[in-house]
Amino acid sequence: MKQTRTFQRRLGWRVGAAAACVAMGATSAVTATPSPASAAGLATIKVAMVPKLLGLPVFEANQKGALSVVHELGISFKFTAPATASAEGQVSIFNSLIAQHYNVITLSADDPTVPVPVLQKAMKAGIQVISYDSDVAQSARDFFIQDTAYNTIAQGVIDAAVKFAGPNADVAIMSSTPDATIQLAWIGAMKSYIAARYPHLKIVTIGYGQSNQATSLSQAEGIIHSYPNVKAILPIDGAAVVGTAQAVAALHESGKIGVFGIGDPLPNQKYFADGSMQGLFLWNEVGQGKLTMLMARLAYEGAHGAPECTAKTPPAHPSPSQWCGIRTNYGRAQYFNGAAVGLPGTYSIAAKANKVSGATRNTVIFSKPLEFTRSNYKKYDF
Amino acid sequence: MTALSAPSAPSAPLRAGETGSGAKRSGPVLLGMLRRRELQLVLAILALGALSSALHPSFLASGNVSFILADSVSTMVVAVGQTIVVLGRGIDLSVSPVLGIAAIGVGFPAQDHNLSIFLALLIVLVIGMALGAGNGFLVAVVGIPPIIATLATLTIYGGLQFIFTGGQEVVNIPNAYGNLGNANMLPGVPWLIVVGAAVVAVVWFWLRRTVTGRSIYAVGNNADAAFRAGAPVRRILFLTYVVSGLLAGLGGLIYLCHVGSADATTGSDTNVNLMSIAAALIGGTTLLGGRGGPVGSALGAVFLSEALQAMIASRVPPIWEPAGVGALIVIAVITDRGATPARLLARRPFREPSHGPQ
Amino acid sequence: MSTTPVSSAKPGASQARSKTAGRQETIWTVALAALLVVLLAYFYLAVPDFRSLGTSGVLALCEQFLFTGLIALGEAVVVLAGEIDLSTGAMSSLSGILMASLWQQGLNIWLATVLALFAAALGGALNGFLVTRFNVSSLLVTLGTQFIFGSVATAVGGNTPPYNFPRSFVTLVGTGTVGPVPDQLLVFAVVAVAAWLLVARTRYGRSLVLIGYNRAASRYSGIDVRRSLLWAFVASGLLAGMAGIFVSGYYNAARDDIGDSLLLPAITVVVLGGVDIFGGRGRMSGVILATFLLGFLTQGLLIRGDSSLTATMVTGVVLVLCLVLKVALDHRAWAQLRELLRHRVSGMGELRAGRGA
Repeated sequence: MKQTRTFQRRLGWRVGAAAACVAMGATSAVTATPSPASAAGLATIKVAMVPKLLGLPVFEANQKGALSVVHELGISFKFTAPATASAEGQVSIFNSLIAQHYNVITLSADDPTVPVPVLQKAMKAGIQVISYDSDVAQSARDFFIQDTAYNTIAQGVIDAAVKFAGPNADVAIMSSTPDATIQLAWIGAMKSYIAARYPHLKIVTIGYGQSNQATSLSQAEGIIHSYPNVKAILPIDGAAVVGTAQAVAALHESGKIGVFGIGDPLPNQKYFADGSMQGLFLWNEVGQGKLTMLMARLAYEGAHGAPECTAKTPPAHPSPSQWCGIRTNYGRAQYFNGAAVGLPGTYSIAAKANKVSGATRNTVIFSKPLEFTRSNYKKYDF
Repeated sequence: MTALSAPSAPSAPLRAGETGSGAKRSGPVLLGMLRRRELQLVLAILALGALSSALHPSFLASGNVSFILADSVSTMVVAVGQTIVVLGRGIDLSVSPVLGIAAIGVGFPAQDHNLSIFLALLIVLVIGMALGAGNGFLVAVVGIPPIIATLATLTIYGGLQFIFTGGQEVVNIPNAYGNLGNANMLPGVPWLIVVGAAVVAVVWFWLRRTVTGRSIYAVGNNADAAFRAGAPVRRILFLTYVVSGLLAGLGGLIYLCHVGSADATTGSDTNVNLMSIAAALIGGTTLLGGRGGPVGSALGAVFLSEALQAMIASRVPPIWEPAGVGALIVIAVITDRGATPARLLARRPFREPSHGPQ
Repeated sequence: MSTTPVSSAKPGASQARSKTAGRQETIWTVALAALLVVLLAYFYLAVPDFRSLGTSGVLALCEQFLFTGLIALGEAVVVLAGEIDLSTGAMSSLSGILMASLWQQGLNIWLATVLALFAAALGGALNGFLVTRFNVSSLLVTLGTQFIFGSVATAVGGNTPPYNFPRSFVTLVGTGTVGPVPDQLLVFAVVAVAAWLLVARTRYGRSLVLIGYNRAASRYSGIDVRRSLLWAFVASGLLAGMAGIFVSGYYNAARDDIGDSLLLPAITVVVLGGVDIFGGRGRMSGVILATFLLGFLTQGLLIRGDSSLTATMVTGVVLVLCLVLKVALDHRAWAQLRELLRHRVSGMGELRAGRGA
């Protein structure tokens, strides 16, 4: 990380000089395609990872995790995405990946419906499709890796806010856009938890920061001024977290208005340190990247004749001849061990939907949320 | 603060070759119209403030007022640069990535090496001028229409911004930056608004009181006449893009100080291009060139920021915020008395008569 | 304006225009066609994954950029007349959302499509009305209406815009084919030929070009400038609306911002197609060729394994290079340059008056 930063800094200094000699050297910096190295006995497969957009640290953390395991999984890896969070941009990329005969496409969808036709085309062409972080319609993917159970993370945020502001307080939510799938799911889970547990806690408004820090900042400041009784703000999108904390700090409300949200700690170290940020919840983004690659391998094996992973106690380090495979099925649960990529424990693929956790069919829930507080935020580098 | 006088510096070498006869005749008339729009805007800002605070008493809380002002400064500075280009009958669609590249260009060194803020100021000005010079080259030297030239550099600079960030984000800037971006100099007077006012004042002085500045009006009014009057038209046009880039770069530093972070989408995600053009239009600068000025654009930026906060306070659903901005633009355009029939019916009234006999 | 020092056109504007400008336009169009052939040959020979697509696969790539082409055709009509329409992207989104929402309310999808197209034409008429009634720059007006159309689309679409349209609809305007040829390509061909005929072969088309070239002269020659411009904006709105229907069909989903990203590529196509951004010069055939040139360039680069960021930047570089080439190859380059200095505008629709007097 540090090394990258230094490299970026050097580049940053040279912006002006480099402006003249544009496009050519540029490409490699964005799409990292390490050369494949076939691990013991495994056929090399081509796997693409397509996040919502380039340049977002959480997705870069996924990539970092993926890169650390592709060698031993025998994966030729490509990380590519549109420059802005555009569903149409993703569709173009999927089309090109189909033409390049990729074996597995993993994606975090910008939109649940727009990429459906092209992903179905990919599946018809024998490509395994795995969504992570943000799902597409179930008919357009084989598996989904859900970050964490919706109810668990919603409870974590609400409980922390109540502990700070009391069960009768006014709170506000800061989200990204009104139609963001996962944020809508979290808001739904928060509302039902509040209804059941803290009936006097009141959500007075939901602000939308459009996934950028500047708008999030304006919106959060607007909320603080327009709703003087708000005791806690709950930002549930990466940019909204930074913008809300900045608003609280700038208006000298640190400690008076609590900020509890869903986001990564690294961008918020400053706000933890100065007391304007109280608590954050998130999963381990690097580990999620590793799991995504492992599932890509297992899905490929499952589609190419390997026995199904149904053993409840799967082997930690299967030898190539022992690899099992996962398939989309709606009857049996499937299990696999995360130890092959250094993740603890056994993962299960839900055979049927679970309304409480938000899991749909053929979904793996990656982990319980981690809680970041003023006492532990320094330990994490994402 | 001293370095803020930088915008006027580039004019010095050009002053020598300048005859400047073009600007004088149209000057006072233009200013008369200008004042009207500025007055309208001041009244609109006060009226909106009064209305909002009548409905929502907390709206006029001193914290909110100074926030509205501070929040508008980054757009304000970029809009002033945009105004200069527009006065010369151009347009600069590349200010978004210029702002973004400047913000990350100093953001990373500031975060990792505690870059001093004065050095940072120097760097953003150089970055902005270099990228602006790229636009100026395409427009003034090669002769590509501004809207197309800057559309192309928008994609190129935007790509560069992504490459320079390498997926990292500036998140942890030194306190000196954050203080400049959010603290008050006097109670209720944020530092940023002082910076913004200084930029507006310097640019106003440059445009009004220097030969080079005034010849921008002349070129925007009638490049041919200015050319025949001896103005170095190409150099002046080139200069407008350099200054626009420079101010967009400064806007990047202000953004970094105010928001506290920057990444690959900074600038384009808040649509700085459109907001700066909108602020200039609302401020009475017409895209036909030669009319308007920095004060109106600055007020336009403040008005936009205030309108946004008023919409939040009035519980207007956020989806209608873009429509509010759009409606403001349309209203500003069709109520611009100076821009209606006499001037715009024929677009170039002073040419019309010679066609009569045909 | 009797003492124009450098004059690029002689009195009697329209005849002179067709002679000098016509030759340049022909050269430009032929160059675009040649470039397209070279580009396809390069991808075919040098990129195995492109070759393995086969004829139908290569033709299917068109489905990803023909909506840009539709918008560009409408935009070109407006730009030829010396104006510009920045609201086309938002209009595409709006028409797709309207169609989908009406269908969701229980309306037959084809009826919904017709109504959405009507609304798009109406939106174009609104632009045209504001521009001609208040005599203000279309750049400003459409900059404003762009925001408004976008907000309306968001409001109509709600949190979960409709998707999964009837099969017949998705097939015809989305992903269906006749043999190896996508349905979209056939529809585009019909629209493109119609637009080409409109501009090149009708009185209305010629009057539009004349309006863009010399508004005063066109007024004196009896053309109803306001009405002609109004209809140009209607055409632009209608074609943008049609693009919105295509997009929705292709993705089998509507979204309130789905057309926004189409605006800049469409303007790029218009300019690359050889249409003068100040109006009065250019051909529809150039715009049609540029649609395929830019489209195949982007898709081919992606298939070659380049990132979409590279593809976008290459597009920008190609645009600059083409324009530099255009200026450099012009045998009256310097005269042009001087003239550009006189007519440098971003407020579109600048009078080209005074050249001949």
